[in-house]
Amino acid sequence: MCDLEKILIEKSKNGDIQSFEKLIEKYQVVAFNIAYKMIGNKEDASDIAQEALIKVFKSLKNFRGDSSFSTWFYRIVTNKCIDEIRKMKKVKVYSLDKEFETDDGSYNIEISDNKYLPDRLYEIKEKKELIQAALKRVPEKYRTVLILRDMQGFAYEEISEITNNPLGTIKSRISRGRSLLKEILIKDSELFLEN
Amino acid sequence: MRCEEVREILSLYIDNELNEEESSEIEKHLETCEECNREYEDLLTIKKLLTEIPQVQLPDNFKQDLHKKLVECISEESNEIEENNAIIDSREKPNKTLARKKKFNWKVMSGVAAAVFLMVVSAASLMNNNLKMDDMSRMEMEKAAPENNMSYKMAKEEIRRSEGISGEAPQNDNGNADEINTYGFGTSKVQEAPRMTQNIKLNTESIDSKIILNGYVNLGVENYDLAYKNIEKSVVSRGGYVQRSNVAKKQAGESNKYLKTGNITIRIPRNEFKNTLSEIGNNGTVIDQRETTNDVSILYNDASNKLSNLENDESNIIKSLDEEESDENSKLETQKELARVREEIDDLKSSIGQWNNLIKLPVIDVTLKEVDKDTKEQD
Repeated sequence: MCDLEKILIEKSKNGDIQSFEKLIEKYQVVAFNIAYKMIGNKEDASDIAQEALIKVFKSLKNFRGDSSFSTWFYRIVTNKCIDEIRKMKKVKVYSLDKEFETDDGSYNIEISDNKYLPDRLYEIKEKKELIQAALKRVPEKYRTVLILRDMQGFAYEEISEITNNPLGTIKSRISRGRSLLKEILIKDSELFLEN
Repeated sequence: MRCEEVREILSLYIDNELNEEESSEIEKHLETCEECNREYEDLLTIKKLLTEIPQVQLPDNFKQDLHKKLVECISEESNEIEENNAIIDSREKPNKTLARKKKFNWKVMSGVAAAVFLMVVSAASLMNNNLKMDDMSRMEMEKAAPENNMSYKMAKEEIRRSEGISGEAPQNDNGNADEINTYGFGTSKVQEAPRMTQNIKLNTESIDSKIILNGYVNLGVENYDLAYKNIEKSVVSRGGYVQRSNVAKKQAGESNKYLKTGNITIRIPRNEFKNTLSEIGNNGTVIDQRETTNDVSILYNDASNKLSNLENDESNIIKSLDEEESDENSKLETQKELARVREEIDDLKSSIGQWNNLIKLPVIDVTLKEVDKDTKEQD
C-alpha cells in the first residue's frame, strides 16, 4: 500500500468524499466488473457495486492498515455480490443449482455422449453470450472463484484472502468450477449448434 | 501417474501452481495419454474463453450516483451528531445556537486540514535542519523582494506580517498565551513550537499556502453591554463585522442581579486579525485565548488543479460537439458528459469559494462573561 493511498484512506476516514473518490478511482471499475459478471445485468450490477462502495466508505473506520486495502476492499465487494445472488435465489422459483446438486451436496452432471468440447465451439461468434449465460448457471461458490481468477486475474492467495477460504478450497473450487462450466457449455452448445 | 490423479491437478498445472516435479509428471503423462490431453485442451479453452471476455466500462451515471449517495451518507452522519449535540446542548445552555448545516462540512474539513498540517509539520521536521531551511527561506525572500536589499531577518518579518501568520517567535508582542495549535484546544505553552511552525510555513509557501486562521477569546467583563459595544466598534472600524451573537442572563447567586453571558462570532480581514484579537482582550480580563491555523494548501491546490483540468475537459467536449457529425445517440452521450463535468466544476468552485472566504476573513469567536465586581463571583 503506497503512501498516497494511505493518505487518501486517512482523509476518507474523516469523511472527505473527494479523497475517497480518488482512492477508489481504479478499484471501482474492477468492482463493477465483478458485480456484472456475478449478477449478469448492468443495472443490478451498478446498484450493487455502488452499495458495496458505500459500505467500504462507511467501514473505513474499521480498516486497520495491517492488511492490504485491495484485499479488504474486494472482500466487501465480493461478499455483497454473493449476498445479492443468494437473495435473488430465494425469489426464483426454479433453482438452477438443483440441476446439478446431489443428496450428499456434491455436484453431478449428466454425462452427455460427447465428452469434449465440440470443435465447432471455436467458430461460434456469439461465444461471449454463450459463456456468460453458462456462467450464470454455475453455482455461486464456483462462479466467484472463476470470475476472480480467470476474468479478473487475481492470484490464488489473493482469492483465498478475499473469500476467506483456505488455499486448498480455492484450488479445488477452481478446478471443479472449470469442469462444471465445461459441462454446461457442452450441453448448451449442443442446443446452440443445432439451431 | 494415473489419469484420475492427473485430472485432479490439471487446473493447477494450467495456472502454474505446481512445483517442478509435479509439472514434469503431468507433462510426461500428457505426452502419451490422448484422453487426458483432450481434457487439458478443453480446460485451457475454458480458461481462455473466460479470459477473453473484455472488461466493461462504468455506466454513464455511475460516478454521479455514487457521489450523491456518499453525500447523503455524510449528511446522515452529521445529522446524527448534530441531534446528539442538540440534546446535550439543550440540557446545558438553552440559548446556544445550533451549527448551521452547511454544504461543506467544516468540522470534518478542519480536522482533515489539521491532519494534513500535522503531516506537513512532521515530514518537514524530519527532513529539515536549520541550515537547509535558511537556504529555502532565502530563496523565498529573493523571490519576494528582488529589488530591495532588505536584511534577511527584516524580509522574513515582512512576509510573515503580510500573511498574517501568528506566532512570531523573535518578537512576541502579544503578552497573552499565544500558541500555534493544530486542533484548537489544549493550552500548553511550548516556546519551541511557534518557531518550528514558522519554518514550516516558509516551506509550504512554495506551494502557494492557504491558511485558515481562527481565533478564540474568553473574556471576563464588568459590563456586558459596554464590552459588546466596544468590541463591535473596533471590529467594524477595522473592516470586519459581527456574523452572529447571542446572550443569556443568569442570576448572580442570591442577589437580584443578573449576569450576562454571551458569544460573538466575528469576521475580520486577515491583516487585522492579530490587532483585533489584542484589542478585544483589552475589554476585560482574558480567561483564555487561543489561535489556530489550518493549512488547507494541499487540498486547495488539488482542488484548483482539478478545476482547471475539468475546465479543459469542458472546452474539449464543447469542441467535439461542434465538430462531430455523429448520430443522435453519441451526441446525447456527449451532452450528458458535459452536464456532468459542469456539475463537478460548480461543486469545486463552491468549495474553493468557501475556502477563500475563510482565508480572507478569519473567524474570531468571543465569549463574554459578565462578572459581578462586588462579589467577585465568576461562574
